[in-house]
Amino acid sequence: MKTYENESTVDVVVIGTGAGAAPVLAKLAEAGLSVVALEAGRWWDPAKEFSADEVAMGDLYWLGERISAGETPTAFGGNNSGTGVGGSMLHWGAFVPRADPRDLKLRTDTGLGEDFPLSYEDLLPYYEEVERFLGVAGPAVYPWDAQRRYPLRPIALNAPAIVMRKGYEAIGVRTSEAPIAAVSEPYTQPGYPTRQPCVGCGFCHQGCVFNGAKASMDVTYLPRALAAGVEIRPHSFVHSFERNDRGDLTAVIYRNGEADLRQRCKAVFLCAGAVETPRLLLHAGLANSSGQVGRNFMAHVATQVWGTFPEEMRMNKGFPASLISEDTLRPKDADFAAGYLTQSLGVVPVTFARQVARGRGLWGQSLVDYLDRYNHLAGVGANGDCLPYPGNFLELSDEVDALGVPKPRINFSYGENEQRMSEHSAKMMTAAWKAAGATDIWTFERSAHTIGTCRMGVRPADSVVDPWGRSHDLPNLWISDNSTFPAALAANPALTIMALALRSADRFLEVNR
Amino acid sequence: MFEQNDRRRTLHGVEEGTGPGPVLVLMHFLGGSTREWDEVVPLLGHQVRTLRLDLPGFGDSAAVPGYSVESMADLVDTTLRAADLDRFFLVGHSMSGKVAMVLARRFEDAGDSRLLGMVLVAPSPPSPEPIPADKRSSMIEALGSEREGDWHRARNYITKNEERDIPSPVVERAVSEVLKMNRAAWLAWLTDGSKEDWSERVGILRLPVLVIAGELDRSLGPDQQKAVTLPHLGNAHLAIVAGCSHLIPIERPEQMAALLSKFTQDLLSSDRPTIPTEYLDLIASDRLSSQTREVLEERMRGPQWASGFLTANQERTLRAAAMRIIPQSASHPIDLAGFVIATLASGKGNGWRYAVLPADLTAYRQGLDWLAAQNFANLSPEQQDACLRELSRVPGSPSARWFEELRGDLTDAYMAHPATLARIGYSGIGVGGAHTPHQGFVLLEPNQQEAWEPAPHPEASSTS
Ligand SMILES: Cc1cc2nc3c(=O)[nH]c(=O)nc-3n(C[C@H](O)[C@H](O)[C@H](O)COP(=O)(O)OP(=O)(O)OC[C@H]3O[C@@H](n4cnc5c(N)ncnc54)[C@H](O)[C@@H]3O)c2cc1C
Ligand code: SF4
Repeated sequence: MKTYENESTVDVVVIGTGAGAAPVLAKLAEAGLSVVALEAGRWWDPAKEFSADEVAMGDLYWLGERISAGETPTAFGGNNSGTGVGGSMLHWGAFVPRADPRDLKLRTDTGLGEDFPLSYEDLLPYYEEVERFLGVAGPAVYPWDAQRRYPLRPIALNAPAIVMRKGYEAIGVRTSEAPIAAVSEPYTQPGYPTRQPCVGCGFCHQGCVFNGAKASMDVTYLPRALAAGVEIRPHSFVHSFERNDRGDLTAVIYRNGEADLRQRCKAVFLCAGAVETPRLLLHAGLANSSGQVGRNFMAHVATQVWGTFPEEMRMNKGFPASLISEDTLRPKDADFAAGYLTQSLGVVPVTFARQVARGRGLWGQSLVDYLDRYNHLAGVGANGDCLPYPGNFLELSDEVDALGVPKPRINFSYGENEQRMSEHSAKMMTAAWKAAGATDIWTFERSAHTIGTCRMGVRPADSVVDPWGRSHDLPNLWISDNSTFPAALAANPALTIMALALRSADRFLEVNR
Repeated sequence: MFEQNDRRRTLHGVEEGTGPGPVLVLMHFLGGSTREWDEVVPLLGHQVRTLRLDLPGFGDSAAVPGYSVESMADLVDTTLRAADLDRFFLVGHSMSGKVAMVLARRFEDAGDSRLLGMVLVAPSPPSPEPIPADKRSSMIEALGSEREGDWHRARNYITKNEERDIPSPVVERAVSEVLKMNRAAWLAWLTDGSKEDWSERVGILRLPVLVIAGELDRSLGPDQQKAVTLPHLGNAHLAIVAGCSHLIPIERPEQMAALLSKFTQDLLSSDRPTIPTEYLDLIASDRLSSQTREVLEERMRGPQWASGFLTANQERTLRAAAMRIIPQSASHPIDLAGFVIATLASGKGNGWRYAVLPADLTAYRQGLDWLAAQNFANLSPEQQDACLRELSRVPGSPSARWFEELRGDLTDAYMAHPATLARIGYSGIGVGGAHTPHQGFVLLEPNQQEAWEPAPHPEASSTS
């Protein structure tokens, strides 16, 4: 790995190494810029350090405490936040639907929520570039977009996917093999030895040990970035910035072990995710003339329906979410705006048991008896759009972490729209599970992903960054992560984050030429 | 008093206790003596046999020469032989922890099973102890030779400039023990003994060990023990003592005594949950990656111990609540409460908490105190269930949120345990790793099972 001196001035410091950061790192370094990535977490060696154990793999998650408030407080940690070289993508589910074009202009269509300041056509070439590079597996024909082609053949369906297809067929809802960012055949890209096909171990959410099968950043964009000369510094938690008289950022200060170090730089890409990015900006008092930093926190409506099947499901086997339906992106009978997609679910036992104890509220003998049926259970879950509300925001609490940085407090309450969408999805999925032969069906209400908090927009008065991720206030600060989304979109976020990251990097190179 | 046959070849020792059980051989830190155990020994009770030793150059062995690690180990060895013990545990503190590990290696090599296990209290590791150079030289400077102001400097050494919380009579006594030592022994440890590298020779010990570390010990605390000592111990448990620094036996004698008793008793009774042979065979097979196997084996040894995080009454209440939330009727149930306490003690948390709740440990203390105030542990099962239901009467309230946490944490501990995984017939542990001969799954459809996949074993940790 190439290395840089702290005192030398590098072209760009990138904070974070997840979905928003890794593509930027690769692009900028390949254009010949000197780039240092500062990552709070550690650098894992999956083959040696990952185990097939949920508790042991808990260190993949961001464990710095967050305070969750509101009527429907959302869970952090293992529910949505990772750390380490590769970010949350180390343990993501690699489920990669594209955003639906209608979701990008929800406000224009319905008067609710917010539009993206860009169109599907702006994103399309970047979607295709990411899908090609990661080696996305998917169906030959995608039922909801006849134009779309996936580079690799689909990943095998597991038992929950098979019963979902049966149930959905019975109630007249279309399904398809899901677009999945895990390779279904050996796949070679620059910077990494050939990635081996997914073996269906079912442990995506605990990190993939199988030789790069899953498109985590540490086997895709980061090796490419390293090959192009990026230096990645793990255990480097950024907590402040330095500026010159003109107000430009001139250096980033980070904690490494016991020491505070300074990296001088000409520009900064802040890619710490939708919680740490606004936390850092609020703490530093930067880029917030709009007052929008921390505002508009959103989380997907991620309601799940579970049931017991007469057949053995052994839902821990196979790729965890291998079937998708996008039929409910605009349901005809909806009493809410926007919509949701659904996916089959196999969940490993500790995570599953915890949600039974917490979410279904079982305890005592009924809990033990229910968990005994693990091998017969299967689920299906929604991922639904969420509107931004003034009451849903991130702020700094009056408690501090070990370094004296205030802990973030996140206020999140479903509005009427999310509540109705959740109910609609539960009703549809329950009908499907009945039709598929399940009994003892129950609904688990939850929200997923951390979205918004530094929204992009055209007007500096009501957005934090421009449509390419550049701060309206500080010309040499760029943001690339889930925080810039002005709308949640029904699609799972990572593919769109990566596409936007490539677009930001292109723009950065253009304006700095 | 233990007889000294040869004043130069054996160590001064103090024997106490009359029971039939194995003997606890207690050794001291640099500058300490048999007296460092004065508070702990009476707390162990009369039936526990102890033999305390003064290492060469310290306490009443001040005149005995032989300060290298090897010489110290030789002298302890000779002394133990002279005492003719049939079964014993070695207990080493700091400096003597290193001596204990070197000695344990000899016993293992000789297949000598009289040594049943070890308790290492904030041990100095087998490898050179990472003492910063300036600290080392200031310690040499402080007490390397007898001169004016010794008393004051010895006091600072014991209290760490008053940072440590030790009753003053105990401080006085410990200071006078420091001043009794042979200064050559002090110098020898700082300039040589602590720097000797025994890591190759000690290798990985197989015998059961409890490593005890003070939460606030900055040089040989929990993190350092994990990094430098635990890699030498194949069957070890780490216990963390809350609010405590390096001199655990005099800072927290009650907890020190409780940990010693628990470790030795558990080892003698072996009450771990039973796991069916077929599942143990699966765990041992090449279906598992070595990382997965290590994690499961460690969990089968039970939770890491933590002392002083909950009061005895809080712990009793937690144990009673665990039995209602996850009933287990197996003769050796999983120590769910122990796993939860270990997680609380690690201070790691799960990355978030509800705004209506205080920090995890505080929330547990408050919740358990409320239950304890209802006399929870002594209620009938029906009354206990009513108490637990009362917690969640108001949805979203602090008590309802804490009860949710409690259910979640106990369920994590239950589900992650190999006894439960065997019980439900879970195959996911067998997916292999990057270099195993078998990887993942091929047969994925409903009712398709691969030949090696385990069947459920409802009797594995059967419930009422
Ligand atoms: C269990 C799970 C499953 C998921 N499954 C899917 C899925 O199937 N499909 C999908 O699209 N999405 C999925 N996601 C979501 C997806 O992983 C995230 O949306 C995406 O990774 C967010 O990208 P990001 O760049 O915003 O942040 P992250 O990927 O989280 O990266 C942020 C990085 O910044 C680092 N960092 C934070 N603060 C600092 C600081 N101050 N200094 C230095 N470094 C810092 C963090 O350690 C981290 O590495 C899943 C998430 C989880 C938790
Ligand atoms: S299911 Fe496939 S992609 Fe997911 S962790 Fe296992 S091998 Fe990797």
